[in-house]
Amino acid sequence: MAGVSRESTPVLKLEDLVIKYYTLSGIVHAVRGVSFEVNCRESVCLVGESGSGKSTVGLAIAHALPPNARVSGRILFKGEDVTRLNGKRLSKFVGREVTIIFQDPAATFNPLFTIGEQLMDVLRTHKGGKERDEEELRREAIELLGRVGLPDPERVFKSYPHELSGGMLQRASIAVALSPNPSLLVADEPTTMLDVTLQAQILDLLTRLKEELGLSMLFITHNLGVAAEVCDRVVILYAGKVLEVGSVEEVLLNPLHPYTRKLLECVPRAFKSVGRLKHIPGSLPDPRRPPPGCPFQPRCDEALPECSASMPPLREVRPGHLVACHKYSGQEAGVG
Amino acid sequence: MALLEVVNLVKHFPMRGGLLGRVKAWIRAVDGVSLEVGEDQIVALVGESGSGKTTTARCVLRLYTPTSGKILFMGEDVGRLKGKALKRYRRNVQAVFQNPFLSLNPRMRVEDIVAEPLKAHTKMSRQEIREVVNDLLRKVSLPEDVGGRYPYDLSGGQAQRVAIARAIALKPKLLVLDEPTSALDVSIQAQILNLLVDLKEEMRMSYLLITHDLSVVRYVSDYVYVMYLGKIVEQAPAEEIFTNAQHPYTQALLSAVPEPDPRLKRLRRRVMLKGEPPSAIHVPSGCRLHPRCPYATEECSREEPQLVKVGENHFVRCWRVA
Repeated sequence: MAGVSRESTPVLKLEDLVIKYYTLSGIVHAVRGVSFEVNCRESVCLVGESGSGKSTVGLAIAHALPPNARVSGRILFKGEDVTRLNGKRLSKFVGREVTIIFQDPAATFNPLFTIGEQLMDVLRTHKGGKERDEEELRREAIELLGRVGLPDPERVFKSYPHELSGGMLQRASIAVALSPNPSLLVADEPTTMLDVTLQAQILDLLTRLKEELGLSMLFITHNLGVAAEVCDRVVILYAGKVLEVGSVEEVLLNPLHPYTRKLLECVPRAFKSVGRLKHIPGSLPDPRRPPPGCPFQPRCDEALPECSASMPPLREVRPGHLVACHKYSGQEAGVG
Repeated sequence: MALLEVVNLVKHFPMRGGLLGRVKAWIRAVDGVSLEVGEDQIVALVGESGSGKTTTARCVLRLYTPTSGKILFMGEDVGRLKGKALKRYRRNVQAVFQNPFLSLNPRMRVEDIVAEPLKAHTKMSRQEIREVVNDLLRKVSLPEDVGGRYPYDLSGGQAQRVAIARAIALKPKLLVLDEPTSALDVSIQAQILNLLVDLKEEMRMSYLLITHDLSVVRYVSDYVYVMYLGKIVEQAPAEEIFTNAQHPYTQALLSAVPEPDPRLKRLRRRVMLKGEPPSAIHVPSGCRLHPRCPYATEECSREEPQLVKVGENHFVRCWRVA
């Protein structure tokens, strides 16, 4: 597209991403043609249950897939294909422009070094170039720890990972992830291991930091409630395929895909009585032998004959709201 | 008479250290908890990590010996049960835990796992046991062929169904459910919750549900106890807790539940707690929540409030309502 300014280029764009794991029991088709983008200063939630491929997508972006994974398709970062980068050019991208935080913050840190030493290592690597004053680095590290809402950052700086609680450690890992001033933060289930009150604190923190720093975020979660708390747009992933994309309000208030609708109906709610919960019978298809056509078709009670024959493309059914479902064929919104 | 009555339960764990293994401190996991579970009732015990909810459950199951306090089951003191009476208690009170892969023996086949309580507690013949086991597997909606499989061959949802089949094999009066759906995906969680609700109706059991997830609590429970740092801070019928919570901790817990409906989210009033729960070794003076409570006053740090009645079956431990 000519004439598109640099600013409107998405920070991250996935084009037909396919990821397979070669295992002893066969090829696992984890991600099967995923395309979506994260725009500048936008936070996008990748929502899916276990086995949907959501974490695999996150790892692929961070170039952290295990060696038995094969990737095809393109990962464009600010318009540049980073899928095949390696060496120096890769390290300019991963860990600098894109950083990632994980579910278990204890696994992020080396248990033998203090939080401060590890944070300063990262700062030294990224901000280095010329010899920097240690004292200046130290001040910067402590300021970062304070910025993520850690009380008494001086003490945290000198602490070993085991001396901090889960919530504090997750805050510290956010500080590490923010230290190179990334453009994109990938957060893979960062609050799943935390208690609800701490989860609320971390979600608030991430929302605040995103505003303050103009960060773009890819948030990976299984929890639709969490998605509603932090995100602008949602991508619904099922068995390695994108089934629905749209703004949080659109998708959660007006879900189009039968899977999204069912998923919302299965969530017990604290703020309203729901009567009997609906549940989705059956379970996810075997990723070694994905069914042809729509992956949700075997569990879908609205399935049409064509659903088992071909995978429907993502269509824009309402403005900005895309769905991959045969039910909506011929219902495209007026887009040229 | 309540089916289960917990009276002033205290469980302190010693923390040992040094060469001689002397007790250096006490972890006050449960610090005076009283609760009741009626017949045919689902009672939820809600709290975050470190609140003592699981320790309370383990005391009820007689996996821990309480430091003090009493647990009465159908009027009998559980702590004094021995021999036959204890065996009868074990039959009447069964448990389902969070992670089915840890609670099922990996070297036993599903049918043997479900048959084990029958072998231990009844004099059924092998043929009878096989029939009952098949019946149980059907009851928890597992396919026929699961019986011959091993736990690793099951999905999380299926494995939890096996754990439930084992727990109901002896037709217990009380099931202790410790975070039974926390390890499952939402679509599977809904299946298991519906199964538990149906089984309770069918078999007229009572449940003591231990969980941190308030949305699950609203869906299944009749009565709710909210626990913080070893104490009950609020108790009320389920609807009352969700519409008229009085304790700041309950309010904070409620307002922290992520809500998928953006319209409801906007109506919600956020009550944020400061920092993190202190350790159960150094329990704060006065009200245990006061260092984190947004409404704390002088008084809160000086003296511990008592549980005060604020409505029908609704009690709160807070100076603001006292």
